[in-house]
Amino acid sequence: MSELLLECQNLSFSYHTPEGEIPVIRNMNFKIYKGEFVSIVGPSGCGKSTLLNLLTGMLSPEEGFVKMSVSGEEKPRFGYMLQQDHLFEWYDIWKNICIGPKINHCLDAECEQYLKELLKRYGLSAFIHKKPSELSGGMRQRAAIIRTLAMKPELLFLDEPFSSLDYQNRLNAANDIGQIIRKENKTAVLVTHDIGEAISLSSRVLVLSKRPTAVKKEFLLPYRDMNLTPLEIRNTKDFGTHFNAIWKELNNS
Amino acid sequence: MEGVEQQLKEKIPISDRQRQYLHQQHVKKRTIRLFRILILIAFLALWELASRLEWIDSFFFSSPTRLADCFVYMTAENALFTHIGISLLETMLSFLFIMTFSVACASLLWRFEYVAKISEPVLVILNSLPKSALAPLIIVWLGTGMKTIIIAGISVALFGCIINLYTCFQNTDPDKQKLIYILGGKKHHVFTKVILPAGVPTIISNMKVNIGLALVGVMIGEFLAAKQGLGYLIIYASQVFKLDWLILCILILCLIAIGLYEILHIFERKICK
Repeated sequence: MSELLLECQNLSFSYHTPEGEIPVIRNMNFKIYKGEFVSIVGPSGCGKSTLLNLLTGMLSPEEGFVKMSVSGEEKPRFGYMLQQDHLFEWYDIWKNICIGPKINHCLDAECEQYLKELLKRYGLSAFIHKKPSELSGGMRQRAAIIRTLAMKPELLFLDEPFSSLDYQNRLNAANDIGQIIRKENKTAVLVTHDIGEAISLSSRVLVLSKRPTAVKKEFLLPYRDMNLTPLEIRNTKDFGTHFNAIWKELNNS
Repeated sequence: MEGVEQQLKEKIPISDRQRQYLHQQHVKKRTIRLFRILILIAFLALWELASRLEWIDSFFFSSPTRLADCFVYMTAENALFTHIGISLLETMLSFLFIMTFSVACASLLWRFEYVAKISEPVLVILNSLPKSALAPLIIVWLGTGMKTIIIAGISVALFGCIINLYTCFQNTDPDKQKLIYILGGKKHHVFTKVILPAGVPTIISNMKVNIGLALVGVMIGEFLAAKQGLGYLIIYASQVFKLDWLILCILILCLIAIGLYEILHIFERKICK
């Protein structure tokens, strides 16, 4: 068994409003190991984004705990991609991707070299001084993942990062990002409501139940070791079988 | 148009249709400008004619030639440019103070949420208060002179500007703020990297409104507590029935307002480039 990166045990969380308490997560348990790509799918509004906020420490659990083996250093060792790319329009692409190292005072020559390499590897070198508005949706997503990788995180959290794109761009962006994460040998946790996206990118899919949510079922997928791109995975014979199994589980949740 | 400029810069050939389109746009712009000038000339000519043919009483309504004579006379005898300069100085000082203090206050309110919640009703009341009602009180407290006039100018726009900027800061995309925290940033990083840059368009639009409001405030102040400035000249002219003076001062105020707005427009284009 490979190295354990994240452990979530008996995790519970509720929102408190003047109208009453809304239990969102109850007794959630799962583990993430190094090199895995785990997708979390669940019914709409079940608390997927809340779960990511708990995993990243933006919210504190009411019960249970989240243990991240990669943390413990001053700078965060995890990256986070939000539902939109959230590139800052007032900065050019270079300033956007440098923002993490700059905040953490680690933008040295070595870091700059690493970022320039990433830009070159993923076809954005020519756009280094362009404003985000001058880039296509897919290019913006690539810039956003480079910004996330700038801090060299071991673990990436992806909160429906392609949901703001149209279908064609979405497929391309998921294909690009999936390959980038594999090439950079990162561990990733993707929250999505798109079953196809989850299957094409992941080694494991966790299906969540309705609110208050918990892990209902786990699906192990064989594609991670096959060296296929996410788009190629969508064309494999048993893609539909996995899709139907997860869909059935999701509908019964 | 930026794309075309890029094409020109990179020497990519422009098609005939594109050239025709650009020519049409150019003609359209020039026609609009020409019509504006023609309307102005027609208005001045009609005004002059109506005055000379005594369709209107030139004592009450003046005329362009009377105003031109009045301008020459006042420049020589009444140090008109000194009055204009003083009003401009007071307006600029009021404006600078309004913007500096508003940005500082809105930033503090954004930083300290409790303070914002506590002071919200006070700001709303101060903003809705008719500021001209405050002017006599300010005179009693501070006496007459430039200080009082500048404070009158500030009072007109300050509270509204603080409320606008604070609302803008507060409504900045929470996900963009979250991103900074995720990247290991602190609250001051959120402010300098997200809140302030995202607020630039609102700050500029407030500047455009406030330059006019500062001028209004300064005029109110000068009406009541000045011995110099365009507001003082207007009040003096109305009291001695020198309506040529009065209308000339109003025209000069129009020109000042246009000039100040244009300066801000140029500033906006430079900032948003």
